Amino acid sequence: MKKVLSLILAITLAVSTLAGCSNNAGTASGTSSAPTSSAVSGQNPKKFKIGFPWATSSTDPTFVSIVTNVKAAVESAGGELVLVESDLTADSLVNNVSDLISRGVDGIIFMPASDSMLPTVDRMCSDAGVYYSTMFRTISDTTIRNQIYSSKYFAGGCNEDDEKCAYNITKTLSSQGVKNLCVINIAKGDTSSDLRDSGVAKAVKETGIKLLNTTYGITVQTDMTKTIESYIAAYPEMDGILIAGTYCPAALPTIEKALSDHNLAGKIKVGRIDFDFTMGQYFANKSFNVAYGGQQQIDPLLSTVILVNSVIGTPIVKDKPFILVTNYLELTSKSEADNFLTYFLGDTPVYTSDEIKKNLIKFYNSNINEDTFKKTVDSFTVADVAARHKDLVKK
Amino acid sequence: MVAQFIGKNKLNMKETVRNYFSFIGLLIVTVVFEFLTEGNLLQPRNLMNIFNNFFSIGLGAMGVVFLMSLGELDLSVGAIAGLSAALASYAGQINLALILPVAILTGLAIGLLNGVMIARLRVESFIGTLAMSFVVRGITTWLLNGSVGIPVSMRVFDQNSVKIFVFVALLVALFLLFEFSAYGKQCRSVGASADAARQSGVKVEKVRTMAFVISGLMCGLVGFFSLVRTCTASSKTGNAFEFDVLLAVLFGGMPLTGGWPVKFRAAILGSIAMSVMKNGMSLMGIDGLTQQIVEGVILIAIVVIAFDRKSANVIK
Repeated sequence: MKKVLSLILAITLAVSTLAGCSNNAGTASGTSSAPTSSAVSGQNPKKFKIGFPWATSSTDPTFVSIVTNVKAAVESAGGELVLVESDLTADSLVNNVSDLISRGVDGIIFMPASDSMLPTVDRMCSDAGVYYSTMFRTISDTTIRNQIYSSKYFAGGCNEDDEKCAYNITKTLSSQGVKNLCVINIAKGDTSSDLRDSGVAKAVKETGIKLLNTTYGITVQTDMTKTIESYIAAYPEMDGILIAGTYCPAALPTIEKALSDHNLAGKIKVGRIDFDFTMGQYFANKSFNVAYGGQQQIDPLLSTVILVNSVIGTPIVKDKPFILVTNYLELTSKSEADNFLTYFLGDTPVYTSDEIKKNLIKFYNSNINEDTFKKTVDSFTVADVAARHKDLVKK
Repeated sequence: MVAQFIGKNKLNMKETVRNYFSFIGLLIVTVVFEFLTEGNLLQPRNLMNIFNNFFSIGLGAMGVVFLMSLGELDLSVGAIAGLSAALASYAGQINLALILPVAILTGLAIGLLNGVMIARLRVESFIGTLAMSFVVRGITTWLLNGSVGIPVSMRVFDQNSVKIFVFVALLVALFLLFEFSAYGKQCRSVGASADAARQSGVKVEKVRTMAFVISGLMCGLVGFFSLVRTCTASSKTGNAFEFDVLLAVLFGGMPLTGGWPVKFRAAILGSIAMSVMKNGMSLMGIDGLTQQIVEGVILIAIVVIAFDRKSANVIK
């Protein structure tokens, strides 16, 4: 009986391999269409697919807006976005990349969990001929950076000067009177986390602020509440909290509630790196004081545009990756926060597909180059987006 | 007479399904997903994806076979893999040659603790290993507080040829140990009836402890290979791995009650089927949450079909 079953299994498997024959004539992924050097008007690039592992189950408006902006970038050149759920850890991302390659994507955009996972991703993508780019992260390890930057399939990506941002926001808090600061940051080992730590340390040294404690890796609201309550109990002298980074959804409301429960809202200055959709109300009642962010929409959008340009055969920079540093925007008022909410976290990306196609896809405009992108970054502000989209977005 | 014939054939069919559940399950899963993915499932590139998924689950499942033949469970396998990866990554900062031994020794140590707790202290394996998983996860999170990397040169161990060699070597060794050695037979005899085994001269506590040690050792290896795949150990390494392993062995036809019906092939066939199913669902674009629902439903269905109520003395 066992032999009969084994034979049936073998024959069925052999027959079923024929099922895909007709479908697989052209699924060698990653071979980008390569038009001749300049765009031909009236034509479009070949269809392509971009894979994006992301926390798609999150309903946090910031997380959703990231998908909106990546999608706009992909669709601007006629591509299809392939989303896969990820918990954004190194293990999960490596598996996601592998699955996406099997699904025949031509490019992958992702946020790396660590530098050390990048060589594995590079090997997989290079073997499959799939381009990839990164968002939100630089590569701190010199050896890995050299290896990845010399890879044919690494298109580049955006990152921010996290150290400078953390330095600036800490100095701002100091100028607002903070002398005893507690910090919440993303898990250690994450490049941004380490850089933000450095920035905070530098500012603390210059300003004389006392850094009381830093907690890392909070991802759920219950843990955030416990952390703030621990800070309140352990450090009665605390007069400032800096959210240097967190994947906890609704982090700011959670912290504000914890402070409010202890009658400390407004007495303890709160600052945050990465904008939050609830900022406006807390700016209004003066319980929230400064936010640096805005990169969470422009970074993934431009990182994906860089990737799309490579995939469709019109890379912004030939023969090497294009690394772009995007700026953090500063918000200190309710009106700015309201504009952010309206124009950054709605259904409209910060650049629409038409705007991207016209100004950032080299296939359609051969004048686009590195300087174009840098000008885009320099002119990017909340007011800029509000002005461009005032007729598109209903307040 | 006809009724007797039909009745006898019905009984044979039921027994056949139960006995060859693993083969039938693998066949169904493979064929279904091959068609649903329009032939992408068995493409060479994707077969390596399936192998990479199957490799870790298979290692864990091979270790768990010994435990489950005793009628025990180990819900700490994922946590052990995570801690093994964490300690190995720190050891790698001292000397790269320490990474593998530290990973293995960590697995062995936790396995031994589990074994002593369950065999000597008579803690119920479900509760004991669940508690151990909380402890070990907590230690891992405290140690790492994020993630730690190892040099990318260690990726040499992530090559398919290395993994295939390691897997086949362990498969042969553990298969021989389980199916043909005295120890393997002792495991099943204890699973069938611990009292009868004890009266036959089997050192039941030693057999149980050893089974947990073997499971721990395999988890240490899983931790090592997870570490060299990403060159990163994080507090989430091995997350939910215990459920993947449990689902794999059950899908392979492992009886929950242990004893003589346990076959080593359950670990292998079940792991392959699980990997094919997970990969197939990913290729179809089914999101992670829906996959969890599917896996949960399948787990319930398997237990309903494969659980042999007649031989169950105690509901664990």
